[in-house]
Amino acid sequence: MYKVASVFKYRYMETLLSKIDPRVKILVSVLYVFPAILFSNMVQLTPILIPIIINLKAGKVLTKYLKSLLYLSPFLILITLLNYLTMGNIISALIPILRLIILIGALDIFFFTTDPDDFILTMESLKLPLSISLSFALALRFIPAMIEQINEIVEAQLSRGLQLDKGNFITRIKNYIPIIIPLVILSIKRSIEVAESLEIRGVHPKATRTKYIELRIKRRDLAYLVINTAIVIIYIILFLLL
Amino acid sequence: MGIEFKGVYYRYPETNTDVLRNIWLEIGEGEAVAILGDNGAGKTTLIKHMNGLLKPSKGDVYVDGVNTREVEVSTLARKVALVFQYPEKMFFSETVYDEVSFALKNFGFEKSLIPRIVEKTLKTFWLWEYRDRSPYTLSGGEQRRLALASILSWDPKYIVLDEPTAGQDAIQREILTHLINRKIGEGKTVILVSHDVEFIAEFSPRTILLKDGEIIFDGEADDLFRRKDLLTKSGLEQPTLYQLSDRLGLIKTDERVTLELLVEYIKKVIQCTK
Ligand SMILES: Nc1ncnc2c1ncn2[C@@H]1O[C@H](COP(=O)(O)OP(=O)(O)O)[C@@H](O)[C@H]1O
Ligand SMILES: [Mg+2]
Repeated sequence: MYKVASVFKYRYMETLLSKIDPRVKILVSVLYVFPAILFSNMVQLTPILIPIIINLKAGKVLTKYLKSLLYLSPFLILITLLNYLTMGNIISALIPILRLIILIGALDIFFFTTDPDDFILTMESLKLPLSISLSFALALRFIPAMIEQINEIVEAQLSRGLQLDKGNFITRIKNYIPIIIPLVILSIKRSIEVAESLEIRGVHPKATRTKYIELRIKRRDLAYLVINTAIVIIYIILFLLL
Repeated sequence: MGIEFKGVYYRYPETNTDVLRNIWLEIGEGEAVAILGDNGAGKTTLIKHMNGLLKPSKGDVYVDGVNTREVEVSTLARKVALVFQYPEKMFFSETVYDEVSFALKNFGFEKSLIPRIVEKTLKTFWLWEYRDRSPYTLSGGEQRRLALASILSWDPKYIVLDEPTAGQDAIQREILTHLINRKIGEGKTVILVSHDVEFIAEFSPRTILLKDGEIIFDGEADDLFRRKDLLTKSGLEQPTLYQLSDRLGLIKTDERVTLELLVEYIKKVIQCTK
């Protein structure tokens, strides 16, 4: 179970998408969400997965996306089951799941191919206040460290004889207490350290900052944006008319 | 029976180089072994194979003749106790007492025995008076002792310590030396990972030097400490005693370098000059 986390760790790879401006990628991600909201039947929804998958493939993160779906599958099956019980129709029970799969895929175009360091630039350029963008970026920076932390704690507690997959449902949840408590304590300690080091380095939400790296839209960013926008617009028109 | 590595290679799923390469190693029962090496040499990766937390990518590890692939970590952990670096990070109990009884419960010790074992352990580690305190309110040294206590309580046959002196002051180091020596005296197998050569020199155990995932030395600590070349290669310094003996030209003798030897030599020299 704790191994799941490492799937989501960002690793830099030289791909078609790694050089695309993060602001463009977030726009494209959001574009692909529209069809999922707009349409509500199987035939209209399913084909949008094709360009999403091509995008993910171009970013070499398709396996990562499929794995994340695999880990979510118990949850997805549960929702389907509940829907089925209330609606009594398997096809309509599957629609919310399909939407979720599209949604995750669309957002992964941005999240799986963008360095967490670039998130802060993206958010700043979207005119979000520094306190929000900084907190968000720091939270994301925490993730890899946290994954390592979880691994360390799990290994240490296993070495003290803890068995995570022993017992009934309730005991299994309780088995995680020796993992969660140290994790929370370490995270609090770390966030205090980070806050202090930010203060020492003169970070202040109201201060004017000099930008070190400026994002610039290049021709290939535009090309990428245009292609994807065209796909989504054509798609929507096509299926609205159908 | 002991712990045995047979041609072990290991590579993390995320990396594409071998972190351990062709490790052949036999550690007998009751042996005291030090594993030295610079940062990233693979020391921690090596010891995680001893209780089955990691399984070799190639080759096999045997504990008392049992292949680690064939048993669960919880079964092996009972025999092979691993104390990680900064073990005090793993505290989660409300009291010092509970922290120690945690492992005993996990390993299925009889309920009526647990209080006696906890009491004995806490007394051995000079922590009995703190039994009702929260582990996080203890000092750094006390926390390290508690971490050790919580693991040594179940009396494992093999004790593996990863950098036990990291971040500890001189007094704590002395206490640790005492506790470790005691375990060696009891006939336990103690495996110490460290780059603290002075600390290692206190035990003069069998010493294994790891470099880029390979064993480049396996022999007596005394022999390794004379080999300045090997130590420098691993970013280690000779212990002071050996540096001094080296400068005095004493290191060429066959005799073991000890403080006594050195003192005797210096006394002689002083008498000569008088
Ligand atoms: N969980 C991990 N995932 C990927 N690589 C790792 C992991 N842990 C350690 N490594 C790498 O393996 C090598 C050996 O690490 P380690 O065994 O911790 O060395 P040591 O304990 O001697 O400092 C290092 O290069 C390190 O970066
Ligand atoms: Mg290490």
